[in-house]
Amino acid sequence: MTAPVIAALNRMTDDEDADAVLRCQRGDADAFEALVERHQKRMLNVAYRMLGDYDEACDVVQEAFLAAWRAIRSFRGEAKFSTWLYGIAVNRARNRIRQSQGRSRRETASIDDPDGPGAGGVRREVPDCGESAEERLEKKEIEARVQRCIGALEPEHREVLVLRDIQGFSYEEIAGMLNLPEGTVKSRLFRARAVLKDCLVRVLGEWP
Amino acid sequence: MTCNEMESRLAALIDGSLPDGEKDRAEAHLRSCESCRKALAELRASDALVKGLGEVEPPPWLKTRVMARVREEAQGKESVFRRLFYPLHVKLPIQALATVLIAVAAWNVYRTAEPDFRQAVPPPAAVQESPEARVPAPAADAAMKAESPATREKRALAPPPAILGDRRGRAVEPARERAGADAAAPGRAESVSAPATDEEASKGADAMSRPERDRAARVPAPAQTRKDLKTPAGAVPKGGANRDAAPTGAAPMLSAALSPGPDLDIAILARDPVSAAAEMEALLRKIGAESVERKARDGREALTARIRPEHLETLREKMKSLGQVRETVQAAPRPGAPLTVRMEFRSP
Repeated sequence: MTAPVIAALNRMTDDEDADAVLRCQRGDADAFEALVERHQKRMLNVAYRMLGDYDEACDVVQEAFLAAWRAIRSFRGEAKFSTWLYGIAVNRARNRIRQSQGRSRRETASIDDPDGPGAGGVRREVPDCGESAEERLEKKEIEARVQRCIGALEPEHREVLVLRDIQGFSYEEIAGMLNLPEGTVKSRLFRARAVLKDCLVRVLGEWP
Repeated sequence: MTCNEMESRLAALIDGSLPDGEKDRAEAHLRSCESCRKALAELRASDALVKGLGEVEPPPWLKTRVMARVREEAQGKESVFRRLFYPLHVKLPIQALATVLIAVAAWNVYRTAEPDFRQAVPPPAAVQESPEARVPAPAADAAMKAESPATREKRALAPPPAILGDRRGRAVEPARERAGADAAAPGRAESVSAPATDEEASKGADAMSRPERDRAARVPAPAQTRKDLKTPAGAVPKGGANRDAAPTGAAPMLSAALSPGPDLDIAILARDPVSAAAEMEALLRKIGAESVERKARDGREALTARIRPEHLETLREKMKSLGQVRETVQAAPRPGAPLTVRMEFRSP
């Protein structure tokens, strides 16, 4: 047997979803419930960090599950099921971002953004010397600013940062989800980290 | 290593994804560069902030809604499947509908392809019939009686004389209209289902001698609604006594009336049709003929052009030098007006 086949078989046996997926492929809707149960939280968090909006993230997760159910017969087990599933969710979230970017660009075309296009509405705080960022801002407020900085990233940077640094997926898994070479995933991630850091320095003032 | 080069390496450094060699060089640079040390610290802090972001919980209705839709679709798919394939009372109308659709589609193809079929009609038929083009109808009818049995057999496929006569009467009608009339005419039903008739005809033709078969095949072959028009022409033997007396008088006139055909239709039997056609083409271009067009089909070379009447004699001389010439006047040339000439070169 050739190495790729063995690798695919290993993935299938490693894949905790393999059994449920097989049943779904035979038309068993109950088996799908187990998959929804298992993956909904992580999917929602991926979508939520990408979109920055809870309701929209819920919509995206619903859409992604439905799309996965409709296409589950075409899932051949070349990658883990979760990789395939999160790939669908990320794709949907990315489309949402593009749509809303297009909308907001049309709506705010005439408004000058002094922070430039990358700032995405994030406003610079005037730092109060002597106080650390943590002291000045509640944890919640800091989170909100971090989220705004994530939202200011380009979609292709945002998705790799969310998947790797927030959700902790491996480079291999991310490459599978986004259908990209690992090298591209890495270079996008490093760029995303640098841009995010610059944004945080701006919004958090004297920091770290 | 410069600070610029460090930028992406620092981002790789914080999760250990920098290769060892580069890592050493990056660390060496960090020892000597304060701003890069600061950038690295910021990156680490930024990473910690991102990793420290809280998680959100999915709402309870999320799974419920997803599963409601999934179950709905799972059931919907099944019932569509059942509806299509199981109850017979639904299946039968589907078959009937499919049959009707196929019939309509076939009829449409047939109609849209008609002009192509018309072009596919072997033009020499008209050429050969040239002398008869002026044969009056009664003479043609008489000749029909004198035909050989074989020819008569073929004629069975052709329209009955009554229809022929009728058609002669309205030779200049548009083709479409005539096609409709043919389809309706008794004994002509097979012309409607032309492709099938084609096959049958060629099967039947197997029993005939070769030249006859050729001609017979040509009778229904073009499969166009005007088959009946070409039939008398095509069915007539080449150059035989029958041919001269054949009841084909109407055919060339008809074809001339039907399509904007050439004023002169000339067949040249040349030993080498290709080079003969090439020579003729060269001459046509030399005398400044307009819209010179050359087409090759089944080893025949067709050449059409518009020439000035004064060049006609030059052309005729050239033709005679190239081979045996058969000329048909399809329409009375208007004095002084350019002539459309169609020449077909083929082997004797």
